[in-house]
Amino acid sequence: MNRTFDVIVIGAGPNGLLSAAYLAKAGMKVLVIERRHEMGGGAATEEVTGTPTLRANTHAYFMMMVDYAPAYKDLELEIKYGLNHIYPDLQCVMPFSDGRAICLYSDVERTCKSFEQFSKKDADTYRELVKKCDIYMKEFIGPATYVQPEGALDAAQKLESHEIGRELSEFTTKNARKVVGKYFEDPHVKSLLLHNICMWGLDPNQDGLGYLIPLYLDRMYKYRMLQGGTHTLPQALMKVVMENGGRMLTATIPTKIVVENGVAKGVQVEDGRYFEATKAVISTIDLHQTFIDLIDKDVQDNDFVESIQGWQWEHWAFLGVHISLKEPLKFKAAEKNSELNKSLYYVLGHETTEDFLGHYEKIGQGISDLKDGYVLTIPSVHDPMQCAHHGGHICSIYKMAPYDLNGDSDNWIRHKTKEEHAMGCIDVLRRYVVNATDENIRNFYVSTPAEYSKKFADMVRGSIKQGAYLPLQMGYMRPNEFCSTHRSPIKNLYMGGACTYPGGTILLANGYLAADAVVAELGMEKWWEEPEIVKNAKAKGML
Amino acid sequence: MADKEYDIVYVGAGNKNFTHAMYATKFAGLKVAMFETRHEEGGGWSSEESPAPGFITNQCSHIHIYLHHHAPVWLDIPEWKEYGVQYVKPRVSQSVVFEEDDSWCGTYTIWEKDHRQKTYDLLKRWSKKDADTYAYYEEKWFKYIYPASLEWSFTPPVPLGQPDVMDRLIMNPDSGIKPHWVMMSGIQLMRELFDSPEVQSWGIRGAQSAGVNPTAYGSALIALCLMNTYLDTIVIKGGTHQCAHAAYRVVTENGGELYHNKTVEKILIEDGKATGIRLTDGTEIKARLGVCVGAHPYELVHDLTDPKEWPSDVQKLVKYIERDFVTVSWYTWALREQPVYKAEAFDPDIRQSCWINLSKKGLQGVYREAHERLAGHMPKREDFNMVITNWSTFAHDYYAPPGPYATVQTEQFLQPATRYSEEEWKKFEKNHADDILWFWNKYCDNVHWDNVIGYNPVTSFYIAKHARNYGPQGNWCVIDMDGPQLGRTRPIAQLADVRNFPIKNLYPASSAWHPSGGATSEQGYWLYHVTAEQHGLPIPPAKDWSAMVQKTLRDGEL
Repeated sequence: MNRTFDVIVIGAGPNGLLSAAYLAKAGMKVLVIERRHEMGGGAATEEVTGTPTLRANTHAYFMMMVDYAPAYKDLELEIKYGLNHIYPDLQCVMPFSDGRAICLYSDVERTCKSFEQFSKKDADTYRELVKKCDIYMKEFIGPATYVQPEGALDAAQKLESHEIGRELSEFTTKNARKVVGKYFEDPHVKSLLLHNICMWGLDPNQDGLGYLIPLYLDRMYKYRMLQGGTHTLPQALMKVVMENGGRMLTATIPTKIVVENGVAKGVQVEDGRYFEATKAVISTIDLHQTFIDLIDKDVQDNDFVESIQGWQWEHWAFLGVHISLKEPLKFKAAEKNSELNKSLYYVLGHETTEDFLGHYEKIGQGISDLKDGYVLTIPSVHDPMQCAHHGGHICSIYKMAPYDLNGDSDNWIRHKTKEEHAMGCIDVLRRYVVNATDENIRNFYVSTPAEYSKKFADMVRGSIKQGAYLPLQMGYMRPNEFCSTHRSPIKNLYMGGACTYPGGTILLANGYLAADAVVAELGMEKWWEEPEIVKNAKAKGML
Repeated sequence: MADKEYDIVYVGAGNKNFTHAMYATKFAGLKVAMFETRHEEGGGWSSEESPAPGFITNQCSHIHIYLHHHAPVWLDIPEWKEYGVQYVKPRVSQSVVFEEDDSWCGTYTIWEKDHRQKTYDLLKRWSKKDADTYAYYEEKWFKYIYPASLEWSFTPPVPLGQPDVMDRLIMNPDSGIKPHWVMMSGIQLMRELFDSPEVQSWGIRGAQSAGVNPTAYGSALIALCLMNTYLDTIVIKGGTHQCAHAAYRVVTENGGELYHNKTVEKILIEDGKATGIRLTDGTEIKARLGVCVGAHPYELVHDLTDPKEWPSDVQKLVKYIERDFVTVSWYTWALREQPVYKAEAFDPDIRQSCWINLSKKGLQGVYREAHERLAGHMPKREDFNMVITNWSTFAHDYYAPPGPYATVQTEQFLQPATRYSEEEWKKFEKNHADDILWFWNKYCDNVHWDNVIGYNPVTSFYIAKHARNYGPQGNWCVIDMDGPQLGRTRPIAQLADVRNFPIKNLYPASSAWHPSGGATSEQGYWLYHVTAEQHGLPIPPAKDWSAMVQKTLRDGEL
């Protein structure tokens, strides 16, 4: 068997597959190695609840940056590979115990109407603010996501030369709690916006990352979901890889990245096979596994390896409860308006900003309060393909929780504890829906923060983004100045996972940029074109 | 999707169709497309991370047997292994742990050094005569019976009246097989072969677990085979779904296409000849050479085609195919620590067995279990005959997270799905979990709820819904495996002779055909030969089955 490839990609998450797809289409011979039994990483849709053919999106669900990510067009994921985004008009519902609800729609005017129930002033403020965020996204944040980052000084200089840039810089110094407090007055509006700004792990009190706030304000009403489940994305990417001559290996555990004379040469796997990479090895897993576990210490720069030890994981993780239902959930708040039963996502149990801030604080103390709130999704009401074949629905709860429960992550890994926390979530659900009954609930599957790391080896301490969003772990510093441009101190070794610029969640950016780095280093001509938005931003001098 | 045309169109991307498609694309360069209604390819080659995050289970097909499952494929398509079918080799084959005194009986696999001597020594603890008898038949197995059984399984069915390889085997006095066994039951054979209740009890387990009714007359020869079949067991790293991944990669590399979430509504037939398929979305796909279909015979005749296309006796008889018996629970348990068997005191190697049966000594339990089940009773927990597979013992990091954790599957035969409503199954699932732990705890002190992280409750109800062809009973062999429903008259004599199938260019690629149920490459392999004969396609090199067995014994692989 020929085991020599041009490029070996470690990790078949969306980023690894993305790199592989771009490079396979560039005519390179590509191998993707994945340790899990299934490719796709966090883009997982799995038959786990105990109800046959009913699948849960056990990790990633929200598709973001769909308007910006160049891969959709470049790889013809929709036209040729049948990927289909669903874009519900009603994006988010936050119901309250008094029977009212506040909603986010893809149509800003409808959102403003919903806000007006609570505060006319906040509705007006929101309208103006998201209009600006939309411009920031189109002019700068969107395009910047798909180009290699520049050093802080260069980037700041360019930003300062434009009005949009100056406005964005103003946000940077602020934290989410302050921004929401400054712009809005009504507690319901504030609660909704603060939660949704922070739902990807932005610390509400963290200064210095405020430029993410406009991004999240924009994102929170533009989410898509994938028809057939999130896993259809990696399935489509895999088909691109395979049709272009690439090879995929699942259930294959990499044990060593072989480095000789400072050059990455290949990958050794647990079953004894060695795969040679003549041009590049791309690691899309975390820093620790890449540089500490997989590469011999004596072939690396000591200071660099030491610096990795300082990397910080997120201090929260997800408790996932995936519930098999006989019929879709019926919300009390939907009694007058049945549309509210069909929102893309719900925020439950965070009725005030204090609820959310208290929840966030408890996480820091290792407490997972059964009464705290979470995000709920019901994919099957939007997509019959996500129903069980013989009928039945799925809803998924994603609750922020500490990795170390009461001081020890092992406390999570017990059937009794898992059931207790799932029942806590179901009790919260019962505050807002009329039919979360024992009769309607078929069964459920629980994924605790400690188990996240058991499922995905790169999500250390349940860190869904391969590392916290902190000022020193973002931008050109994500994960450090050597790797943020998707290269590394080792020749032919590239980095393309969520720990690199621009960060985690399904942006279809990191893997794209890693492919960009490989092609650039090899002096090859790119088969894909620079996206229009990037060209425009460059022409304006913003990038 | 737009209307298209291919050489071969596959209804379903189950394992039979996959084997056929690998050969059709690789050996004949055919242009093929597979249409799978599930989100993933593979049919019974299905694995999920469902007991708990990080713990992998096989929902249907679990342990594979190196030669019995895939003998010719390893030789013809070596890239299948390279692209994902990596495996480990358990040291101990099937075994039985006895409730009475925490002792056990079993055999060592061929992968174990000095396996014959070790098996002999183990059986001798029960009866020297039985150990001698077994040693005699183990030799016959490798020399005569296994090669014949492989040839039989991987060759298209020969109509009754023409001698086939099994007939010749039975007639050959050197094979050790006595012709009167043909009429006997598996249980009767064990009584004839062995004296000690322990060895008898062990000898029948292979048949019982494979879904054969060992009390049925005519089951003796299959029981004899299944007593030895597990000697070359392998455990696929990362689950049997890897077989599907790898097959998909082989088919794609050879230009084949696969579409997920696409349901076939009808097979198109013109003038008694299959010409293509229609999907539920209305798309019609043309098939120039044939349509391969992984369906239950009833579903094939009454749902996927117009019944009028079939002879009237076929229309009638497919309704009465028996399929209530091969129905099980497969619960996979995510455990905090590996179960510790009391029987380890008797001999610690019990831990290394790929197939541990927990039961009382003797044949009575097996007899009662079969008859109670046929009478429509769900087995009581006192009467369980559970089988345990410790996945994480053999390929730990491919089935469980790093650490002390264990992924273990339990098997217990149940009533078919049709016996209860969905509501009743929902209640049963939880009670059954309690019952399994109660029963298992008699053999392992550390198996109880405090050791459990999660479990995946696969019951006959689950299997019935998993894929269309398993339904409605949830029969994992699609149909039962007794009498005429085994071998060359499977599923019914009128449909068994695939070379003379009632509809031309229609190829049944299913567990419901010769030789038996299970996620093997057998049907896909011989069906490709039939397709090749009928359309003048290249055929893979002829196989020397005896040499394959000897090489595997000598080198540990082909």
